[in-house]
Amino acid sequence: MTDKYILAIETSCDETSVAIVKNGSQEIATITMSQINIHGKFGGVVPEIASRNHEVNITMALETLFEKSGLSIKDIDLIAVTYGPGLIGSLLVGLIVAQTLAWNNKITLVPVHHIAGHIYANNLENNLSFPLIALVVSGGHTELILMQEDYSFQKIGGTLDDAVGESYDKVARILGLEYPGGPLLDKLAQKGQDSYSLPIPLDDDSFDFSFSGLKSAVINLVHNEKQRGKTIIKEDLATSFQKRVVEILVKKTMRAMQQYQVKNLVLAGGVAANSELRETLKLACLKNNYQFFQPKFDYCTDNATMIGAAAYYAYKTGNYQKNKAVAKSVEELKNKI
Amino acid sequence: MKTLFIDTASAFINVAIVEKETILCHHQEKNDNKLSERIIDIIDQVFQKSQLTTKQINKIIVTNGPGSFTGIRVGLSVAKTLAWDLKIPICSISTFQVMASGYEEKTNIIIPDRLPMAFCAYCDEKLDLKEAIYTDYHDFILKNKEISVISYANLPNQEIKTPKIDLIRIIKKFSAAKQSVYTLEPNYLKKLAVEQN
Repeated sequence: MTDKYILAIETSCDETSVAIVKNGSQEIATITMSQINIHGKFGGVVPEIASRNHEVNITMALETLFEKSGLSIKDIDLIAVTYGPGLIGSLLVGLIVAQTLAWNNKITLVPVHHIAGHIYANNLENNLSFPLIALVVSGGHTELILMQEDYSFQKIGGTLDDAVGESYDKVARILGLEYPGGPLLDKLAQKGQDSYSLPIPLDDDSFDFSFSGLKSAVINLVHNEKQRGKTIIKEDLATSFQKRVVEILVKKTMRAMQQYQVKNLVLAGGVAANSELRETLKLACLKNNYQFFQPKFDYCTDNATMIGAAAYYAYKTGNYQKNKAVAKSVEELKNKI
Repeated sequence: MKTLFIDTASAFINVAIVEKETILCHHQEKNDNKLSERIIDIIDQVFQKSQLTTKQINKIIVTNGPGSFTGIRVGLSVAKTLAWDLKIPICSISTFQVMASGYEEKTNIIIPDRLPMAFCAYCDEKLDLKEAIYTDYHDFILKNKEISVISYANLPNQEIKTPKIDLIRIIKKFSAAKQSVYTLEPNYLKKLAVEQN
């Protein structure tokens, strides 16, 4: 295949992100406009406001991207866009912009699944080795995915309720931390002791996860301690919560590696920035002689670069619907299209 | 001078290409919930029927609201992206002005939301918007009783005139107007519940 310069657009949640990626592995330029400050005062992402801001920001983001890269739309071979899952109104803005550019310049449009993007964020560091298992952890997802080859996905487990990042943000809120509390909770946990008794969530033989029970346990614990007139040691509670979460994530991931006889592990998604999870997985992989891929911090949270990386392989393997891009708020990562 | 006109915010989708005093193609269809899937096809068809390419267009006029939130965003996203890509001027106008453009008289224009709440406007005979507000439409109509009321919807106990679109008049009126594609913003006219607190 000749060199492919891919223009990628990602607007599935609250980051307006555009990027140019070469051949699925080389970042040429990325512009990401975050809305964290806007949504912070509401304590979470407000879908309508997110969508409105994407619409306002995206043209400037594109202009800045092309200026930074020194390229023009004429240099672009493929246009990639996140079609789902995500906030429907937010996805729509990115899709419409991508479709307009593809139509006006007669460029092939490659719709990309958001989770495929998170996995392929790792491809921007080192080319992925197969077969692999990907642990995708973010504010919207907690999934274990088996990949036998490029762009072939088999979900082997996932969360039954809250995503892990979501439970981090919710527990952070209970502890009085600012939104988004996940990263702050991680920092706090590094200073504390594992002194609180919390359950290990869904410790069974499946590869599924459940975090809402653990979140409720934290709420109850805080409430009961208050009733008894005791003060909560926030650092300790953060540590105990983080230990349980990481313990079950690592345990089930390692069991999946053994059962499917896979030697490559990929960590992906916003929670891949979590220090404890990174360290614990790295150690476990070292012990078992597994190859461990983790994304650069910049590629952990939502970004268009990863969408551009994934699109290259979707195109190469023919796994995309030609000239058809429909936004899907809920969408499984399919094996083949 | 060829102008591409895009209006996706109200009950009907209007896409047209106008050259001076001639409408080369005007496509109108009911605005159902498939707008985002249809819009590129609709625009493509309008270009094909006009036997033009996008590079032959000199200007884009787009409605920026009020109306359906998604409708506003879809129209603006297409129009802004196209104007940016083609490096041509863009100008946004109100949905009210489109609906009243076929009337050379003073008009009250009502776009129903959760009745009796509605997007309400008062337009003069020159198609200048004198007032635009989100309010109870009864109160609004009472203020300017003697003028025609224009709406796509049937309002109980109220004589209604159907909106008429005069594309030539719109394009003439806004022939000199242009805005920056980077700062052109939607006008939702209504605050969200979370913003009111």
